[in-house]
Amino acid sequence: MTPERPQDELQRLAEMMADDLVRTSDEDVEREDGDSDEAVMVSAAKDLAAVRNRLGKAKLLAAKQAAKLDQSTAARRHTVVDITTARDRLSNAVSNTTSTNKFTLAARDGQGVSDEDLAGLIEDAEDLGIDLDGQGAGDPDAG
Amino acid sequence: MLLLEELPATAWRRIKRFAAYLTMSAALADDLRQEALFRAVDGTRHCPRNLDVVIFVYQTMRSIVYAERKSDRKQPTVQLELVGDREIREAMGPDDPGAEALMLMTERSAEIRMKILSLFDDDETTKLVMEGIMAEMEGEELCELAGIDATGLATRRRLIRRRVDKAYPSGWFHDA
Repeated sequence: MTPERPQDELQRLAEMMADDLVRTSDEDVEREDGDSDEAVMVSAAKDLAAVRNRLGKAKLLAAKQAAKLDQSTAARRHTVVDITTARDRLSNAVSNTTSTNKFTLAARDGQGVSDEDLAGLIEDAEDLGIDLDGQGAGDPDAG
Repeated sequence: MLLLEELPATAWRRIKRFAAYLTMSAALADDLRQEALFRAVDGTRHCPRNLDVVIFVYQTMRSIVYAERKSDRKQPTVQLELVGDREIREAMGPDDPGAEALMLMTERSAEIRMKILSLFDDDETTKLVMEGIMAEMEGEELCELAGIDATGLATRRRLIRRRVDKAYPSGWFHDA
């Protein structure tokens, strides 16, 4: 059993006081409070200004993150591919791979693949972490 | 945000007092209020249609305090802020600040507890009610302890709140 701490006892008293405040009429709450309506509203305006300020910052941060994400997605989607280099890379990758079923295009060595499909294939392969240039892992299933 | 902007002064008076009760400190009450208001408008928490906005803000503040208290039990460094004594905090240094903070907090709370109880030295029944509340008693059990009925208990609870509020307008830890 957790030993009784005076801070826990005080907390219970504070909760009882909060509960009693809920049951107290508006008139009594007003009468008991030493501050004028004006002072209370000035303090409330400060709270709201602080909240607005934080909300603004949070929105800015969210917008910045979204823009960053958009940028990186757009950059990836619009990578300029030199089609001759791309065909060479694919051809190298096919001949370097140790797996017989790694690329379904192996049988045709990239022949008959449209430029657009080829660019997409290179992008997809890079997204999957396949090193087409054979300098990294090369065949992800090998070893 | 709109709902909050339309709240009248009485609503803000209640929100302010709730925050002071929950934190027992004027400085921490400001932070708690603003955190709860932020969560109320940023979509972290949603106010049910049939719930009073003031009660919703109170419940939000309460859940923040409960969550912090739960983590304080594991690592009580946050409560150090309540102690409010800069020299002691600086003198403590980096060695196990959690345990030191907890010790100081406990000592300070015991002191405040005694001072608050002494506000009712002239009224043994109310003092008994207060001790019962601190010992987690309520309702009939509390009435039995103090030898009063439900109306008498409500009167004592109101008396306790008013007298303590008057003695500690900016929070117990601030004025103690």
